[in-house]
Amino acid sequence: MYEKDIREQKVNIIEMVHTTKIAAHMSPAMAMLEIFNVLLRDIMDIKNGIDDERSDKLVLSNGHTALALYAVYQTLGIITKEDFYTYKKKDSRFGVHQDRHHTPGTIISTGSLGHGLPNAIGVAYAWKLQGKSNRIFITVGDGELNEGSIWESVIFAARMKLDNVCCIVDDNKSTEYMPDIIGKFRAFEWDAVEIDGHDEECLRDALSKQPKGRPYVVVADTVKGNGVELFENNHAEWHEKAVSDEDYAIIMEELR
Amino acid sequence: MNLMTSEFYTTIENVLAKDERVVVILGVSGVGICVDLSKKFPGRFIDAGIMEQSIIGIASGMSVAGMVPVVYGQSTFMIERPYEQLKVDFGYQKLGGNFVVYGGSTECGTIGATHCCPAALSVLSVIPGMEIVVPGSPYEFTSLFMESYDNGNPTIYRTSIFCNSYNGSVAFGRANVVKKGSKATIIAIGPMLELAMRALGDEDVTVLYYTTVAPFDTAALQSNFVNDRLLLMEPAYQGGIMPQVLKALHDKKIKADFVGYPHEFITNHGYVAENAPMYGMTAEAVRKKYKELIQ
Repeated sequence: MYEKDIREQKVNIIEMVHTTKIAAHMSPAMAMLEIFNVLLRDIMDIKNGIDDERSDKLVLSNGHTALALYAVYQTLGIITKEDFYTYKKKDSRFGVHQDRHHTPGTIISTGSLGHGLPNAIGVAYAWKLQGKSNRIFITVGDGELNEGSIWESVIFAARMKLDNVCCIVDDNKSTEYMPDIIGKFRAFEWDAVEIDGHDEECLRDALSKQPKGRPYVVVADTVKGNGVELFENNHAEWHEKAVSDEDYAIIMEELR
Repeated sequence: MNLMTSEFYTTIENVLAKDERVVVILGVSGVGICVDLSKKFPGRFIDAGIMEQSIIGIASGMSVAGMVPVVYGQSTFMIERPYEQLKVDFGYQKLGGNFVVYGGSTECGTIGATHCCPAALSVLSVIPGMEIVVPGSPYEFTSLFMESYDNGNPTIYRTSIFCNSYNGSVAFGRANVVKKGSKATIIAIGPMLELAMRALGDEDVTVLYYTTVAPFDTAALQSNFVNDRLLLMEPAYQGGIMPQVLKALHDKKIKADFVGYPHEFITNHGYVAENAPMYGMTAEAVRKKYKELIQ
């Protein structure tokens, strides 16, 4: 459904990074595009605008994937191409990590791993006390799951029955050791499903569900650098890197 | 007994009753503190258990959503363990929240060095925007808390088992001039005022009493600084707030000395009073230090 847009977003990311000659988190970004497209276009209630207090919210606990979100923002007309091209520049609203003081759609500034999920769970708990019915979506990386604060807040969310929480694990195999992610969440009394993180229909189906009385996690099996062979074959090297003219030509030939 | 924490329960019950935005999160699992308040204010007086990093993180999220979080727990575990959460989640994000802590500095020294935190005030003071309140009595705690709990900034309230007999009114961010003299300026932080007055109450000194360390009342020090002799008395490592003092007196020549803990781990499992002679925190030791300072 969004395949063409996602391909275009990948082109936009590569072109921007190549033109501005910056090092960027392209490989992690490529893993998140389907998730962000489905979330913003089909799942989240943002009809009043992403910054409206009546809207659902998205928190990027794995904040370095914001590059992908900005690319989706551009497609949706939330930001301009000029905005997008300020990525990582001095005084830009679009840093490597979002800043709640100036990045659109951002209620939580992230960057330090293991912080976004507890922050978002605090928002969810407050919303319950306030009788608000919105959902909050949080993306976390599988590597980030090594952080103890993740599991502390996982315990809290289950205890408080925060069914307005939907956590999406970007399981792009970053960590050397985090077996049975879904089993761990279930052990802490979360509802959990495991899906292909690049399959739009699976994402749409999984993210539209909201189990009653329990927080919910969607473990998305993703590929770092997805759809760009150069990145996929050496995603560690391409975690954060600039694009040379030679690499640019190779990638563009593949994407176009 | 910590009278200030008893006062906290009374104060917070009143605040919970009058302000629906307030939520109290305890990090003191298993001790069954104030079960009646958790029943009276369901969901708004909770014990999250021993997860200090996430308690601070969750509290910041509540603040994002418009609530006024009040976190309560043991000083070292609510300040030094979740330091990055205080720095990033509250400081960097510029969010309001309250952190009421007990067992400051060496007040839990009988439990061991892991439960001491004499560096807490100084490490907090380098977080931009972090407010630090060090009341010297239960009355002062309530007065300062009521004045600042909803000011939109992150604020630490360091309660203590030691109370001053001083009964003047205190105000958030303001130092009190307890007495005026000419030979030296004494800065007493929170519960150190009692020791300062016992030791030097009859001496010809100016005593400034600080119940707020950050924001630091620069004007009070600048306008009341006498002679060039300064004795800084802190319930913490010596000289922790010296950066603020030096900024205030940057154009002055100063000869300074300190009363507080030396920069070492407190490992002898002693009570504060038992350890006081060893660390020069008796009236006699302070008088001796003062005499040497004014020579």
